[in-house]
Order: sequence, then structure tokens, then C-alpha cells
Amino acid sequence: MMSFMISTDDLMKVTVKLFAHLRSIAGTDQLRVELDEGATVAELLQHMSKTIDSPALTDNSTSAMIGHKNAERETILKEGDEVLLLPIIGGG
Amino acid sequence: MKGGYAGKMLFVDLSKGKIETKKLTEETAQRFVGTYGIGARVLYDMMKPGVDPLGPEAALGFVTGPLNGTGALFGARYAVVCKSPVTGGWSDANSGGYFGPELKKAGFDAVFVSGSADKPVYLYIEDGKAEIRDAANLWGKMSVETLEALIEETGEKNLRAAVIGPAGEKQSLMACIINDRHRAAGRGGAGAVMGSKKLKAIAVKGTGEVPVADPEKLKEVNRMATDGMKNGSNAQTVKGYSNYGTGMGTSGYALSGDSPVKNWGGVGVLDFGEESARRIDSIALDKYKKKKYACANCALGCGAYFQVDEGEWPLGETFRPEYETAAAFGTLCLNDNAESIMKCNHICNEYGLDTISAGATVAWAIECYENGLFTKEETGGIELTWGNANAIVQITQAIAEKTGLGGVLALGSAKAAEKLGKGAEYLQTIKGMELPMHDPRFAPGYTRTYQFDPSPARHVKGGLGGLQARDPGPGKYDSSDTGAMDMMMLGIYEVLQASGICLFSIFAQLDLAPRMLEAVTGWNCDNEFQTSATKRIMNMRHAFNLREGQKPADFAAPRRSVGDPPQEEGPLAGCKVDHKSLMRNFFAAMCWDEETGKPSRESLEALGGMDDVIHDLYG
Repeated sequence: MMSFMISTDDLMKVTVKLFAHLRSIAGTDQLRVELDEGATVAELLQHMSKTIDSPALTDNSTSAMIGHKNAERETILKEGDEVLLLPIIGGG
Repeated sequence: MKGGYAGKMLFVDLSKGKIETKKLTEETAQRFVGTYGIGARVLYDMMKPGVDPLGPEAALGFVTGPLNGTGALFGARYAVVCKSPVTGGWSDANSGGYFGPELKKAGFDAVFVSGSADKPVYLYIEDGKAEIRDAANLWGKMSVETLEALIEETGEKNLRAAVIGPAGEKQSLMACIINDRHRAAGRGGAGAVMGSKKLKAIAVKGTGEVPVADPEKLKEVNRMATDGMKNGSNAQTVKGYSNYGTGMGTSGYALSGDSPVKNWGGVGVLDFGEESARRIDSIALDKYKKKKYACANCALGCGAYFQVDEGEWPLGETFRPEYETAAAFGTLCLNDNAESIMKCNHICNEYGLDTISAGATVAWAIECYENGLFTKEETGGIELTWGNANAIVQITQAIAEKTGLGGVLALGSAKAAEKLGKGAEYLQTIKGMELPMHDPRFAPGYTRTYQFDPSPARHVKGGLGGLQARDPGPGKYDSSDTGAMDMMMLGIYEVLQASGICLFSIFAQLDLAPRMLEAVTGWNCDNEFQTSATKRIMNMRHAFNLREGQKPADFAAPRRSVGDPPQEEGPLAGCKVDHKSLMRNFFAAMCWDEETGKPSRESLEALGGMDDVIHDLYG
């Protein structure tokens, strides 16, 4: 399990679950990420892209889901949130 | 013609045992490009309206594209065209592998088969020659066995063949045509048409070269494509597909709402769940991978041979299920038993069944059973409940063998409902065709494609769906002004598929097909060429349906698929598809009348090459 550790008192932890090629590139299907309180989904993706080299994090082609609902890039994250990142590729 | 075409088409009348070669003119090639474009032009000439699609008057075409056999990357796709016994209208289905390029190298751009043999036969084609041969010893064989028997009989180790399995022989309406062991021209029931003609196989050996107008330019375009795959924005997708195939996305699609769930009535993240979704994607199945498989001239290689020696269904060598198959027998049936999905995939490949229609028909049958429409006595003791892996395998086997309830289900869900007189309320079909595995509530543009591509209910046809699926924002639900973009996407798909290259070429470069076409044919394939070819091919296929008396109202989308009513929970809660606007905008862009579906006379006259269509529509 990977994590992005920055030690201050104003951090919150969220769990990120990865699918499709994001999972392969990260080498895991789940991450614990620490972010500033009030961070958005967009900031989470930006933060993750520093260590996971994938355009799926930044090119707007990946759906994010929190609590069984779609999350917009502007959605504000909360402590303990579980974020599913679902890259859509197409094809069959 | 400078390149891309053999310039000859083969016409085989099985009733008379007659084989004839006709010239493919450059004018027809330029107008209709290839695969289903040329296929539609020729079938419109060959067939009269109203004929029985399973009768001797019906024709069946195997049509290559100009990029087949030329060395153009991704250039392996050919199309099978016919009047569908499911929809009673136009049907095209395409397949990869090596058959299409081999046919071209054997000296033919296409083979059209009419009539019906009085005993099983196969067609053998070798370097410009063709003969009808006895197939008594092949009849009853599975698809792979058939190919192996043909190889043994002809002594040609690298023989390529398009075959039917027992499902096609028995004219199951969801029967497909299999080439190269596991590549399928799946949808529309072409396998039943082939079976009705008692044509077990078309076996091809070709050693010729396909001319290329500008070989250096083709090399350059191929280099650009390779660079795009390695270094472009889709490089990771390409790598992922190369490693895991199309099933790489299965788990994510199941949860995002891209995959339909529980016969289109469920919510993936709630009814199926994350653990189940992960169990059936091809990353989880990678332990079974024996070796990779790539079609002719493909640098991506999304296929794989699997080896399954243990568990409840030890299949031995089999093939990795595609995403559509995993979703149809998986999420659609709430089945998270990956081994059972591989078994169903194997049954379909061996017997020659379309995995989408088969899985979707099973899902429909489960909903009927769960709601008391089928009794356990009717199912032959099969407990046809959601997620019951054993039952799903058993009923799939029964469909393949046409035994018990499977004998009726082999007609497909719509015709089974009609025959049994029940279950129509649970059908998820358009004009009798089961919907494929991408949900319009997730990407609304799929609805227009499913309804109004002349081959209905196809996920590989052009339109906005694929583009919108990669857009997580809510803007895609605004369908007020979709016509121009819908046409643009349609144009990319029509030119690409008529050229005979794989849809996955768009991961390398969006306009690869016209660039390759220019290099191979020597034509100027500018925007005007592409727009005209797109409209001409679309109208030619559409005209086939109009001549059969079909109207736009016949192609209604199932209510669940358009969010009528919307789902109350999950990622697609509240999502509705504005299918009326999508239709209206598209029809306006195509100059089609909304009520009759007729293209305007002026629009057809401007395209050229369709005088007979104009006469049929306008007198």
C-alpha cells in the first residue's frame, strides 16, 4: 500500500481505489492519501499525478465516485472518504 | 486501381453450383470504399425486398477493406453483410484475425454467396480460383475442430477459414461466424444465414501481394501510428489493452455505470459491488494467460490464449473473454464467477454464438424466471436466478445445443418472448437485437447509434457515445445541439471501418484511416471525400432498411436504457437520455425525414452512385 505522507495537523486521509490501467501503473489497487482539509477531487488527482505518471489522472477521462455517487472535480473531500477512480477506455 | 484492391469479387450461387467473378470498378470502390460500404451497394443490387433472410433468395457477403493485406497497421478487419434474420433489415458485423487479408491476397475483394446447397458444402479459394466442396465430414463439428479438419484435408498449415459451428448449422438466430479459431463476426445472426445455405466454411489460401500506390508513404504513416501508440496520449491504454485486452476495464465500467447491470435494471456499485466487479475483469484473469494473440498487422495485440486446467470447468486451451462477453455473462446476470464466464465464452466460440446476444438473452431469461414467468419445469430444472453461475452455464449450453428451453432462447430474447407469449416487458432490445454492453444513461450518444445505425444495437458503430463515455462531466446530458459532433464521430468510424482497419487504431491517431487510404489507393481522401463516403455508406445501408418497409418508429429504445424512469440510486441517479433531441439533430444532419426515415432526394443526388435508391424511394 502506498501513501503520500505530509505531516501536519491539518491533513485528512482518504482512501483511493484504482481500476483498469491506473491499477497496473500504480502497482496496487488501493492507496491512502493525505491531503489538506478542504481539498477537492481535482486536487487529489493533481497530488497523485506527482507520483503516478498517468494522463488518466489529469486528462479528465476518469470518473470519480464517492459513496456510490459520481463526484465532480470540484467536489470537496472529507476525512475518511473512499474515492473510486474509474478510467473509461471504451471498446469491447 | 493503383492499390488496395484486387479488383475482383466472387459470386457463388449454391443452388446452381455456379461461381462467377465480377470486376470491382474504381468508381464503386471510391464511392463505397470497402467492407460494409461495398457490401451494402452489392447486396442492395442482389436482393429483392421481402425475401426470407434464411431462404435461398437471400445473399451473404464477406467483404474486405482496401487496407486489408497491404501492410497497413491494424488492417485486419473484414465485414460480413446480410439481411438479418433477427431484425429483418440490414446487418453488418466485422471481425479481425487473418481471414480478410488472406482473401485479398487470394485475389478477391469480396465473396457474395446466394442460393442454398442441398447438402453441406464449403467454399475453397486459392489464388484466384474457387470451388465448392463437400462438407459432409465437417457438419456437426465445433468451430476450432472445423478449422483443424480443413487444414488437414487441404494440407495447408496456414489456411484461413470463416466457419460456422453447430449453432449456425441449426440456424440459431444469434449464431455468428468465427474465423481464425476465435475471432467473430458476431452480431445480427449471419451464422444462421450461412447455416441456411448449408455453407459450413469459406477456406482461403492466398499468396499474392496486394498493390500499394505509395509504399513509402504507407511506411511513414505506419511509423506515425507506431509512435502514436508508444508516445501519444493513449500510450498507457494501448499498453493496458496489449497486456490485458478489452476486459481490462470491466470492473471500472461495472461500477461507473458504463456497464448495464441486472438486465439493465440494476446499479453496479450497489447490486454487484466492488469485489464482484474486480473478480471478473481480465486483470484478475491474467493468471490463465498462456500467450498473447494479435490480428494481422496489429502492433497492439489485444487477444490472448488462456489455459484453464483446474476448477469446475477445466477448458484446456481457450480464449480470453472480451469486455462485452464479461459484461453480458457477468454484470448483466449479476454473475461474479469468472470461471463460469470463461466457460460461457468457450461454449459460444465453439458452437458459434454471439456472446452479447447470448449473455443478454440469459439475463432476460433470469429476470423472467425471478418474476415467475418461467417455472423450474420449463427451465428443465435449472434454477435460473441472478448470479447463479452453474445455471448460467447450463442454460448457455442448452441454447448452444438448442435443447429444452434453450431451443426457444436460441431465437434470441425478442423472438423467444414472442413465441412463448411472455416476458416482453423485460426485453432490452431494439428491433429484436439485444443491446450491447455500454449504457446510454452513462453516455447518452449511444442511444442514437443503437437506434439509428442501420445495424441496430451495435457498440462499435459511429456516434457520440464513445466520446461522451470518456467525459465525466454533466454537460454530455445536454443534447440540444448534437448533430455536427455526432456526424463528425460517425465520419471517423465509417471511413475507418470501411477501410478495413480496427477501431483501436484511434488510440494511435484519430485520422489514421484516411491517411492510410491515401497511401494505399493513391486517392485524395480529404474532408470532402470522407464526408461524402460517410453519408453514402450510411444512406446505402439505411436504404436497405427503408426498402424493407422499416420506419424510424420501429427502432424504439428500451425504456430502462434511456432512464425512463431514471434510476433512484447510484452514479446514474436521475440521469435521463434526451433521445428525441439526439434523433432529431442526427436526422437533420443526414437530411432524413423523422417520420418516414427517407433521405431527401437532393441529398442523395448530391452524393452520386445511388440512382436506383432514388428511384425506389421517389419513383
